[in-house]
Amino acid sequence: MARILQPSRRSLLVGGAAVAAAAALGRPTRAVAGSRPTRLVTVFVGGGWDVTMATAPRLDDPYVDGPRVDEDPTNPDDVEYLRTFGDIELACNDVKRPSAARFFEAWSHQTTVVHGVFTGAVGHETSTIRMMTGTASNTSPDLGAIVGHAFGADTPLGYVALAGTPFVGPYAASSGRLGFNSQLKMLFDPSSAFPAAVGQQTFPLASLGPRDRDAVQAYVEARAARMHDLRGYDPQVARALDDLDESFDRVARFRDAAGDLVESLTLGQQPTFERQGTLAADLLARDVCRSVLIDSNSGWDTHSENVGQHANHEALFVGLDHLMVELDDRGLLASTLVMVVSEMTRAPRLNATQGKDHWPHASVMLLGAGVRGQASLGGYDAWMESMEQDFATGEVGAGLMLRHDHLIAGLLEHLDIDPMEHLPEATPYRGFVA
Amino acid sequence: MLPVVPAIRTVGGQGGTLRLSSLPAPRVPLRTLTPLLLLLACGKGSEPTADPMVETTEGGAQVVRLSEADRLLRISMALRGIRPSLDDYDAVARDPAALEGLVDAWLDDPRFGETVKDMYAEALMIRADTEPILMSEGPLADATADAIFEAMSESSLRLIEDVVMTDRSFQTILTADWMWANDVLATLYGVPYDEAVGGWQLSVYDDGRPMAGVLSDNGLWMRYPSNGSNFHRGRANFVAATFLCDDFNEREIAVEGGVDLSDDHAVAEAVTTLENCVGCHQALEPLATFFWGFRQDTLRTAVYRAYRVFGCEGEANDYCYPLAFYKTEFEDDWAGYGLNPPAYYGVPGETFSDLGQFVADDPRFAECTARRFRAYLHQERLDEALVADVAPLQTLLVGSGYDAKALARAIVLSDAFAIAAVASGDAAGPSLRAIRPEQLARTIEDLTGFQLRADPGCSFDGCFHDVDLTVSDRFGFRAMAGGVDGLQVTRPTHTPTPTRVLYQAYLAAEAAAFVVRSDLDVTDRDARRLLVAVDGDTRDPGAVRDQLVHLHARILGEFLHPLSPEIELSLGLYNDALSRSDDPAHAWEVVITALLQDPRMMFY
Repeated sequence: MARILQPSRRSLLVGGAAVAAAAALGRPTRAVAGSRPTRLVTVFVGGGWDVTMATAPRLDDPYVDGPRVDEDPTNPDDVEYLRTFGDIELACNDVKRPSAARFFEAWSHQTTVVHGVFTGAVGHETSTIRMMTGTASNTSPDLGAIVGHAFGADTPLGYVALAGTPFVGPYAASSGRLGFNSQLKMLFDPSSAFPAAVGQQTFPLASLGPRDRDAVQAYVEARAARMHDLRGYDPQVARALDDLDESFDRVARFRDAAGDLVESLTLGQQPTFERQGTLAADLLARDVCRSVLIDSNSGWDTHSENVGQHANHEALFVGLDHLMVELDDRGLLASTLVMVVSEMTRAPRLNATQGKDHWPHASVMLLGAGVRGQASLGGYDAWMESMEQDFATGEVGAGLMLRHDHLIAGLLEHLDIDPMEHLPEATPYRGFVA
Repeated sequence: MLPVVPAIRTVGGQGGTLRLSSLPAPRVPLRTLTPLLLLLACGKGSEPTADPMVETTEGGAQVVRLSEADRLLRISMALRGIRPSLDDYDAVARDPAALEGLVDAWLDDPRFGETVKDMYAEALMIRADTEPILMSEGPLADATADAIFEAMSESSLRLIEDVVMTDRSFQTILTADWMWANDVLATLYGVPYDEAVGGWQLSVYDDGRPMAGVLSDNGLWMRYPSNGSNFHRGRANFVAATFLCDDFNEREIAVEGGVDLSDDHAVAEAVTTLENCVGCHQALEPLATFFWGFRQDTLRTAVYRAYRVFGCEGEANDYCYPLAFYKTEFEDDWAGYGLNPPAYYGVPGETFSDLGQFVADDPRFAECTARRFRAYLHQERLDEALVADVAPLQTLLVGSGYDAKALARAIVLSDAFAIAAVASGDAAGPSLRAIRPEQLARTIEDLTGFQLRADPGCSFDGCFHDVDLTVSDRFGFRAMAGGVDGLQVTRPTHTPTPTRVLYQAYLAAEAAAFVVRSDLDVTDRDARRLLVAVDGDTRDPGAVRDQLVHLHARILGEFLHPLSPEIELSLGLYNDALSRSDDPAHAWEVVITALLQDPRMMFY
């Protein structure tokens, strides 16, 4: 709709068949227009994806070192070509990234791609903070933490980070994380502990039974209540003790609701991207939480050998498809917004080491509840820089430069959370709303 | 008018309103009897003895100060990460002026050195153990990944610790012409090392690099690689952000089109000529030029390929141990890209040593150091303290010859550090601090002797056979407990979270089981850590109360009468556990588990 690229003849041919192909694949594209999400899955693509390999193709643009630079001339099947899915244009390669096309065949009707989100920064951490929180402060909560807090009052946890970089801000007490090697399992099931180091006693040592633990918990809570009585007039003390009380409560409920999921993890192993997708769907379906952060687990920061982005994209779309299937199978798509976000993109040109450096003009994929289908919003100019766009429609042209805070404010509004509470100076971006 | 401040006695106390003189004396062991009695008699402990003293600060806030015992506890935790000894409490109870002497002694305690390392580990974000770790290959084939990680991450921290603990000017962290090495690091980098002496020892990079304290550390710049055509700008910004509190990345940028990004020369010219770029890059570029002797990176995969693919032949040898991470022949390569010569915010320099000296002499370094120490000890954000609160500390630091101990001393002895509660207004410091994972680990070990060290074994990314789970993120619980992992979690969390309370409950239970077993295995009660008034078969109610009094004092810094409500609460827990198990040892395990996760353990 708002792109400056001209689709190729082949893309028109292929794209025209996309809807039929999606139906033929047996996964109906459900209409979720108008529904308000109350759940969120944030898929973080940490390191910076090269969107010219997928949703921002510039296959024939001499200024952009797109995926064609990696074509193997000795392999006739290694061909980059363009397909369209409604307004979404996709760089396709049946050898290197076949799953990207398959993904859009199945899910483009529930997908909006927002281009031209200006991060205003080029460092990983600073850009991650901005894209996740809509602010420049890592003490601000990210979208997932806000959603978890807003919708997770009655769930054991609001926000669960299965991997990645959560920014929980003031909502630490409603947030939880698995750990790099699933070590949360050790806390739930002490008998699953790592072997002790040489010279140490074998774990676990503790002999407390359930009633002992209950008694200990009651003691600690009584002591906290006493401290609250004595010093709770101080807002900082009161808040810390409230967080403590809330944390106790959430741990107990989390153990009841998701103890088996945690115990199904393998201590010492990170869950794969696909496993994270299944866990995310399980956690949401059981109302263990309302917001989940997962990470695509790939090395996206390709300053050298940008060719690695092909495999990363392939794995990403395999995992995304798995996530969507898992959500769909549990009947969650009508209530779940999926945001696929990287902290930045990669520069349009290769550097001296055949890699691509950081680029502050980003793209974000939104899927699921209340999101326009087959929509491509915003765009990049000839220099792959963000273009101004209409915040109501996503049309390129008159409007504003879309920044990270505008997008997060729009997403908050879409989630029925007042953006004024979190980003009072940001104009909400609404182009993606069905 | 003052707000209603409910039931405050001496702040920090948990007790009721008993009249101590009407109660029988506690029956505690001889070695603890004197201090406890003294504290009770003098009313210096946290047992409620009087109505709270609400004071009005210069800023107009109405605050309640910590009791002397709780002030001692807070300072000890902040400086050393452990509780004061009962003798320490006793000394201050006898003479409040003893506090300053204790603080001076604690500043010389090696555990203050550990705190300094923790502080700068957080600043440098160098204990990032979830990052890929260099391969165990060649002469390090038998070295575990945890040992290689320790060598790479701890060298710069040891330098900072040593500078502080040997009372050198803190500027030395950026100017020292030495470094610290252990056997693994010496093999990694090929620096001089005396095997006969062993352990960590002073050494020096002898590859010709100019020395500049921690800025010369290989491990630091392997943690912060210079990517692609970044030309060390990220490293330059790291120096500015970390040591000057001036982060270029926090500035808004606007990238203009029209630059051929595939041409490093064009980019280098653009950042020094385009209007939108010059604002930052006119300072950043010459800073970055100082770093040209360092390689951009040395990745795990590069070492693997050097050994396994290229057999350490030719240029690949640079990636075999000892690594050639710095080469003097690289130092002037910037000129070939048309970059600016090295300079420090407009002042020309030549060598990397110049950079260290420039930063050390920059007034912003003193301000940033003062701000960092204050932020860490107060548990504030780095940018949270007002200039008016930092400026006196900066002046003190400079006036003392950059004495970091004097800086820490001033912070912990300040009025702002002694605030127990704020009744109204904005106080100059927080009224509560949450125990950091490193402090929790040290406290638990100090109280119980327990360490949570594991052997997770081997996987595709190395073999790990001795990992302290309390301060690891690859296998342990540091970030879950509120700490930073240096990579994804870059700021600590100073409030309870579900994973934090879950972890603390786990650690408390393991440590309690450990100390009960180890204590009761020792016949001599004076040689025990916590169970000094009972044996495994003691059921005498008086002895049990005495033991509880001792546990509250030692673990929580809480000096209670044996018949106080707090002791009654603990006794109820003990009796409840005993009734289920008929095993006093088990009942003590339950009680100590509870005390180790008491709010007075979680907060100080």
